[in-house]
Parts: sequence; C-alpha cells; structure tokens
Amino acid sequence: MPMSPSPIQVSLEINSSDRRLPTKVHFRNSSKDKVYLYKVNGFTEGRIENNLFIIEGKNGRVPYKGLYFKRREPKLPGDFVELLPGGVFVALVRLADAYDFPPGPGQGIGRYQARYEAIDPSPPEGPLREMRSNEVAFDLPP
Amino acid sequence: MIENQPAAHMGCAVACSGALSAGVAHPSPPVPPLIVVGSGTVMIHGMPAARWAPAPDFSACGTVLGDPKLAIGRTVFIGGPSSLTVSIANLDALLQAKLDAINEWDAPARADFKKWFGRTDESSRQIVIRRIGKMQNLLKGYRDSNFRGAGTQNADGLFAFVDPADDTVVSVGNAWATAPLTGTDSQAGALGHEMSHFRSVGGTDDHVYGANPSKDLANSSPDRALDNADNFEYYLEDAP
Repeated sequence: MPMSPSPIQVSLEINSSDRRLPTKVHFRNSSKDKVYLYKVNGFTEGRIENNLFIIEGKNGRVPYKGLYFKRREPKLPGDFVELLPGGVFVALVRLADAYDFPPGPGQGIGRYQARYEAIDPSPPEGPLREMRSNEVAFDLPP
Repeated sequence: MIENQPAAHMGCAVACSGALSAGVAHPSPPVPPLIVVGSGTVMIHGMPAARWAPAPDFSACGTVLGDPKLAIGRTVFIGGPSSLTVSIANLDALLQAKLDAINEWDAPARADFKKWFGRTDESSRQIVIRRIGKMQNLLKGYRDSNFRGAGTQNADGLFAFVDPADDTVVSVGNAWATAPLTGTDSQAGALGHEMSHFRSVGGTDDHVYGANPSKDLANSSPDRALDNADNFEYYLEDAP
C-alpha cells in the first residue's frame, strides 16, 4: 500500500546568491494534533546528516557527499521535536556542505532544481508517511 | 578483578577527557565513550573482554585503552582475535549464506527476499547479487585497521558511520559497543549496513531505521526498500 503524506509540511527557501547555498527548511504541522519531527529529518543540529535532498542540474543528480550513519530506530522522546498544531520549526543548513557541486568559482554554474524528501517515522510503530517539499529552482552563482 | 582493577569489557564506559599529558588527543567527547572493541573469544559478562594497549581494542572516541608505556608491567593477558575480526568473519558468512539462497531461489528464498525488498523480480535479484559480490570482494581486504572510533560524531544511538566515497574506513560508536556479535542489529549486520553505503558496493541510502519500519517500507515502497541499508542488513541477519 502506498505511503500517505505526513502531516508535517515541508518547504524550502534557497539563498542562491551564496555558493554555499544556505537554505531554510520550514517544517509546519498542518494537522490539529501534536506531531513529532524526527531530529535527523529536521536538521536540528544545523547539519545535513542524511541524503534527504534531491538536487538535479543539467548534468544529472548532484551526488550526496555527506556521511551515512547507522542509528538505532528512533523511539525515544529525545529523538523528536514536538510541533503543536500549526507550529513551525525552521532549520538552516548549507546544501553545498553535503552535496557535491563542482568546486571553485565559475564551475557548475547554471540552473538546478532541489526538493526535500524523507520518510516520517513518527509515531513509532505507526504507518510510514512521506514528507516532500516544494521543488525550488535556483541558479548556482559563479 | 584483573590487576586489582574492575575487569572491563565491550560496552563499559571509559573516562576520557580527550587530554593527554602530551597535549590534547581529541576534543572532549560529546557523550561518554564506550569500549567498542574487545576480545572476540574471551567474554566477561557475556561481552568481549577489553584489553589494555598495545592490544587493538579501543573506545568510541578512537583511542586505545590505557597507557602503552605501562604495557611492560601487565601481568594478565587476554588473547583471541579482536571482536572486529570476528565481525568481519561473521559478515562474510552471512553474505555467503544469502548468496547461496539467492542462487537457489526456491520458494523460501523468494519469500525471504520479498519480506525485505517487497518484490522478487529478476532486476532486483541481480542488484542484490551484485551488491553481495562487491561486498565480499571488499571484505577480503578488511582488517582491524579499517575501523576507527566515531570520535566527535559519537552518540548513544550510533552504531557506525561511513563516508560513501571512502570504502576503506568504518567508524564505530556507542551502539556498536552493546550490539551482539550475531543476530538482529548485530555488529556483523551493522557492518554490512555500512558497507552497502559505499559507492563501490551498493550506494544505498538510509530511508528508515529499524526492522518493523523496514518491513513496512518493503510493502509500501519497494524501490526505496531495495535502496535502504537497514533492509539489506535485516535481510542478511534473517531478522524476525
């Protein structure tokens, strides 16, 4: 059976004037109940620690260059951030820290499309749900 | 007691500030590091016994146990290959068992494959066969020296991590220290999980963690299950 959407809505704001691509990721509880955002999915430490962005340019998908972690299944309260109905958590990350854009000034310039995709593991033992952001087009500056 | 001190084993915490008499070895650890490597054949409380330097045992912060300069005064010696060596051998056995099953491809083998990957088509089968073969080849060259402590990335729920572009290093953390040598979420399985991330092996991702979410993923999104490192690990481990 296909996954249903998570009540956590995700949207991206990419500042493409900076080659490090600082990005605000907004997580909004669109439901009438409390929800719980898995901290790894929410970048609560300000770092990208999983391959959760799909970024495509004229030469195809930009590879993830970050680390991969084997973690225990998230079940503890400390694994999650609580979002009240309508509540928003905003994470600030830098896409270029974790994705392998061509290095150096003037390289890899051009148009890219990026979106966020993750599986919402909350609540534990509940059905898996999909988190997917809007797709954002941006130009990598020289 | 060993040498009048409490005997230590994998999973015991070590006191490490990151400082040595010669300077700072590493930044202060984010959580108290546990011993992540011990003897693969000598157990204390059912866990691999930990040995002083110059033995290869180390903690999740990445440093060996005790002061190597004191080695000459040691009076109790614990032998056996390291638990890492045992985990490498265990993973090799898991891989060979699955390769045999996937080549046999009888009804139980297909049911097992479907449980973790959601389907039994030939393309998916070939992907897993290739992944197993590449991992077996890489594993032939693996030694204790391919492992590091998780260092500043260490956390209580962290088994291990890798850089997908560097297939020569696996860094292990506190959850590795208390993982069993065999069974579900074992050290061997976690090693298979991490090696599946290497671009040279499988290029897998982490979509979900845990056996039940991985089974749900196989039912709801077989494409992602085939790409999910935990699904591959639980397939190797014959997780319930």
